[in-house]
Amino acid sequence: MGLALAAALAAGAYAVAVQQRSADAAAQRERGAALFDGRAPLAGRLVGHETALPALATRCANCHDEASATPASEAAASAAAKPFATALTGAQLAQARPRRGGPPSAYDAARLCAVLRSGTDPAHVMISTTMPRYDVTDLQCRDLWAFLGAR
Amino acid sequence: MNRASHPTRRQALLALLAAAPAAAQAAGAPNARDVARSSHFPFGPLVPTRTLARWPVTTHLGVATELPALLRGRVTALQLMFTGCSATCPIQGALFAQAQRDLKGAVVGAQFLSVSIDALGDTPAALAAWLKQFSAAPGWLAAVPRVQDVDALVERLGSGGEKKPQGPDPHTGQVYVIDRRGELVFRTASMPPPAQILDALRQVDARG
Repeated sequence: MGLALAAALAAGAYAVAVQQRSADAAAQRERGAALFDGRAPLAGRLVGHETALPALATRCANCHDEASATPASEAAASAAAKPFATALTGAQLAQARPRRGGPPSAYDAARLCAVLRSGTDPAHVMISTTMPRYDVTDLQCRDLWAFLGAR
Repeated sequence: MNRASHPTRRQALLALLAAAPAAAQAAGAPNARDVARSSHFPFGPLVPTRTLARWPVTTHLGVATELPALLRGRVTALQLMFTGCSATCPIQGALFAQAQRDLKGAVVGAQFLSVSIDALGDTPAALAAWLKQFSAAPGWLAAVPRVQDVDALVERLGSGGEKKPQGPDPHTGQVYVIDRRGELVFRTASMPPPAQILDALRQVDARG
């Protein structure tokens, strides 16, 4: 009887813990999504610039989302249809790919942090100078990575 | 960027000063002296300077005019953009916004002008909304040319400048500085710091 009660309690506690972990993961992904689409501001600036850019100009989704505006003129429509940068997903980031003919790079959460802060990819190739360099915290990086991994 | 083939900001500004006498002449076919001194860098002073044609434009206020009419008598920092551009244009807008805040009347009659390359998609209302998101103050205009003039305008501003991005979007983040006569006299590098935009405006203003 006592053993059964203990087992039931343990199972309940386990279920609660699993539920909590799931809720935490969902909250983390949501925080990452907010950083990605600009609902939560990311601090960043261009290389060589002293002034930080406003959130409007630093959101990841500006360049790395699938969705884009559709201007009416041919040139602008074509420009918008052609992605300015890679649409980021966890699977895409985890796959080793070369940048501008350099050695291939694959990302994990730590490497994502590094490239966001330094502008240098894991193979030490510099990313575009048009992409801001970010003052991201470790927590923000983990949140972003969790969001991208679920895309 | 290849350091050997591009001037530093100091070199570019010094070259601008050195170019002042040649820049005073009216634009037209370059003479031998111009050719010898003509700029071949993707940014820096334009020698000879370039006259901008009387392209009809419509401003964000719905005013139909010609580009030279918007420029004459002012020292202008001009950028190319379009409101549906989510990648580089928000950064361009942010740089103009910061430059305008930092200007603080240092150059009398200076203005900022964002010119759309999306002549079919960008209405005056769209341009006005685009300016508003950057809290643009008076002295920062947006305008859109006619469809048939976009290519010529982009070419006139950008030829010999920074390499166009790959793909069909023909615009870079360069800022084009135009003197009070309406002559294109200087181009910055792409995505210049606001302080560089102001330096260029001051230098052009100082030349009269």
